[in-house]
Amino acid sequence: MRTYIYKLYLLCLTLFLSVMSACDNKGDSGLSLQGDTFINKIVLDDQYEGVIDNVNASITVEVPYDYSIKSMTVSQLELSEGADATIKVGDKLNFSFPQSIRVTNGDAFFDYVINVKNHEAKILSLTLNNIYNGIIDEETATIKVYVPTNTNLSNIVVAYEVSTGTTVSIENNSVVDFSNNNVKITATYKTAVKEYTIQIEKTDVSVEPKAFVGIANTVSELNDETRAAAEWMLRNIPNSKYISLNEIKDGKVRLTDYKMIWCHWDWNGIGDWPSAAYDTKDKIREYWNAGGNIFASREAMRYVKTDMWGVSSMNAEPNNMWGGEYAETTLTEDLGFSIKTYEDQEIYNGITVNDNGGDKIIYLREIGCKTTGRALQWGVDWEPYFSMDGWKQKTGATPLASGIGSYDVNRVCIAQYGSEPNGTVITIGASGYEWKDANVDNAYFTNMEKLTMNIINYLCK
Amino acid sequence: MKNIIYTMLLATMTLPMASCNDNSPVLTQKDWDGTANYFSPTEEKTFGTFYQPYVGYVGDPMPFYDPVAEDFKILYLRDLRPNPDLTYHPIWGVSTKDFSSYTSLDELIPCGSESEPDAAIGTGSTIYNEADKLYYTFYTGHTASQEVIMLATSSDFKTWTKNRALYLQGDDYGYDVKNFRDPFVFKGDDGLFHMIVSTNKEGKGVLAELTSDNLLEWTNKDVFFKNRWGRFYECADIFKMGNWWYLIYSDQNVYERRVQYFKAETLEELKNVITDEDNPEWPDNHNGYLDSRAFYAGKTASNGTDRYIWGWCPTRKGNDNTEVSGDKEPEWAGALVAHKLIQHENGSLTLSPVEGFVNKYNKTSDVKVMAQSENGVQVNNGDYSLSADSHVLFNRLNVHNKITFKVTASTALDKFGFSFCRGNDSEKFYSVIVNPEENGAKKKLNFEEEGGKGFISGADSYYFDTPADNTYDITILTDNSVCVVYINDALAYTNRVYGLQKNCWSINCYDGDITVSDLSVMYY
Repeated sequence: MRTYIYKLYLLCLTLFLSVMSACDNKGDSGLSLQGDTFINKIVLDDQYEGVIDNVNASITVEVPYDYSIKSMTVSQLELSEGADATIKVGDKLNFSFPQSIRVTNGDAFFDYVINVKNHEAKILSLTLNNIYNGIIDEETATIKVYVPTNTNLSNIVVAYEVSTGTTVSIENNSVVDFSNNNVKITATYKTAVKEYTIQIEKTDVSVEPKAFVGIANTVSELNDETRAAAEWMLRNIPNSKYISLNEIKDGKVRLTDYKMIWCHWDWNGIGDWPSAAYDTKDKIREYWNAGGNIFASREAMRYVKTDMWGVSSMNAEPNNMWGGEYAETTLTEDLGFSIKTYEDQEIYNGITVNDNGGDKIIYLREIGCKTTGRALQWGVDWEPYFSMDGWKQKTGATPLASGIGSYDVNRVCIAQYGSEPNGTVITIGASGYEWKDANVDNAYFTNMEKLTMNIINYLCK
Repeated sequence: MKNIIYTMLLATMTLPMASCNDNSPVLTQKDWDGTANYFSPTEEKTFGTFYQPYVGYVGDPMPFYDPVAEDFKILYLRDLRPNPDLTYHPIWGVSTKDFSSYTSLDELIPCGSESEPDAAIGTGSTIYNEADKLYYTFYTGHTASQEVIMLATSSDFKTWTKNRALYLQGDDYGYDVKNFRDPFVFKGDDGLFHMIVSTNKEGKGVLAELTSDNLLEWTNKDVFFKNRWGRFYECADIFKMGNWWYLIYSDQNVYERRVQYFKAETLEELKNVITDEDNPEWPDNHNGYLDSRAFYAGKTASNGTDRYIWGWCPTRKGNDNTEVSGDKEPEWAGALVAHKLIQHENGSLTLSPVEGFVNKYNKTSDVKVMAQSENGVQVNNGDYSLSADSHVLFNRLNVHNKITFKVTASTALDKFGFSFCRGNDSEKFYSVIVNPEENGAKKKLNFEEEGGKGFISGADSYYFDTPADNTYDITILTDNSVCVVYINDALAYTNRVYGLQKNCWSINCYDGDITVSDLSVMYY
């Protein structure tokens, strides 16, 4: 028995020792990971040294404002001992685009992204009297600010935000006299000097905060149709901002910050509806219930229905829709809508009306212009409404204009919804209310602008 | 005591050994050939003939004949589902000498990092430069804000070095900065390198042209081709075959999405085939369509003797054969389909089977009739006569099949076809129907879910002339769920039919009287 236990003991011991030796991994993996993989110094074109950020794996090289970065040479490159890099001294690169460089040492590697930036002095935002937001046009170096007509111009508080390191010729939050016209200020960053002109525009258009709600995350990612509308609003309507459906969906913006929102949506009538439009329906409904005002044009006007925003008491989309494909047609006559019986509506103030044999037309697009012909109308004498009264009752809407189809009053293309405590909603689905190339050879562009401005103003009352 | 411990130890050690001796009966081989009920097959992980990689799918192919290795290299955009958000579609490749198999070359040109202009990659083309003995692959760098043409070179087709100085941007030449892609480079008769780029000018789709004498510095030569109706043409390919110049392109418009071509006797004339947008100089009598909507992004390469075209056949959402329509975009990427180009006397082109593929199907399958209609079918010595509303059901297909047969119709108005996924217990099955059109003067292949949705829009073929002798030589190549139908050197038709493999199939007559002869089913 004793010898038996003794043999068992030896067996366990050998097993134990063999297990222990296997735990020693040194040299087992075969990977050489001891060397460092850093860039210690990089210089381009003999004089421009990069600032190295090892935490974010990025290198930034600053060059004078007018220096060409299309072909820069790597003149110095110092790496960790024993390391190699995918870029070598003498290489010429086009730094108009970010470049990546991989540093390897044995089996270890590290990737950097190199960005070369020209010196730039930039004003990022500017407000007057802490309320009125400036619209900055970098190309013309002008900052346009809309202020109410009765504003005292002799002591205006100017506040601004600038890009890091930029200094401005006037101190932040200083009081400036604008009574003798425009004021020029200069922004400076190293070799970059930029003079901006602040232009005050007096306006009766409401300066309440407004937002353009778009499908894409930024204005530049919008398609031609909606981008044209968004850019127009940001340039011409006081205190406007761009917000995306995703920001609304993710709760990153609060709709109640805005007195009105303009939803101008377009997906050429083809394909799947963007899911974000569906995902935000409840937030937009809540906004309207809380008194928020909405201007919904083109595809957005379909969302007033009961199970979307709940603005209309009818769960139906316009029953007379067509057009909107990619191929555009050329207009063989002027295109607009009829306001007969609605001539007194506020939203038509100051817009030229063409009598056209009693039809009272407001034209939007001139003969010879291209159009996708997208129209979203209500055929009120058709199913399921069967009459104007039937339509008004079922939808809870008030008609404001008649669309094409001989400008029949039974083809409603502009409508209004909403009563207290909810907000007011105006919808436009008129053919011709199209923003892409609206100001190209189109004598009626001013009508588009005035109509839109009137509607926005009306919704901000 | 010792004995007890010892026996117990021995017993526990032998327990596992006891289970190694399996006494359960051997599974019997199912008698496949003897049954005709529907079976739900799975797809192989890799397709050998209509190639699909083990992981991911084939997008826009870039075929290239390598004059050094003397084989075809087909680069393609590798699609993953789902793709990473910003960096996607790296360039992978396959090679083949004689089409008997594809060898994967793995990843050739990876995506850049998220901040680089080639975070995502679009298609391009490869050219071999005799001057420096390097392969040049021009490709598209794609990000949300722009598309740029970029370049990578290689001496051995394995290791590729990205050129960090060459970036061609659309707005430098007055084109669309967001849509500037699919560079196609060829050497012209003028000794210069020409690059054709798909882009927009003033909002309308065009093919732009740049030239270079060294492949590195490019000069804008303005618009090469004004696309019809301002449509956007992707994956353009220009080549000379015999005495004709050809432009092959894929119209991106959702209502189109097919590969088409134009022809002309000189390159100059090719640029002007569309003088009247509504009536262009079509190269044939069916608007230059080469295949169906299930064959997209077709581009060609030639070994000097034969020219082949490669494109991708889309997958269908949920593996549903009816998830396709004439006004919807298909799923992007799928299987790599290849055809051979046939040039007819008048310069027109049609697609025919690749010999290398055909030769793969070298095993003969016995053809057995599993069922037939009560009336209307006569079987004589391997020939079948069918009259209206009758069909013959044949034994199960393999995973890769070549089906050939001849149909002789009695009149131009006869309507016939064949069905896949058809078990004798199937309520629904899928049919390719040779449908008389224009009072019998022409035919078109329609795709139908019989017993279900009927005609499936967006899955039919182009129109072809009814043969004068009412005889149709039909060849069908299948590889898993991808099937390609060829008729008479006049029609090529690709489609995705899930459930095709390992199921029975039938030949049907809907109208008229037909005779089916020379029926042969081969496989590998």
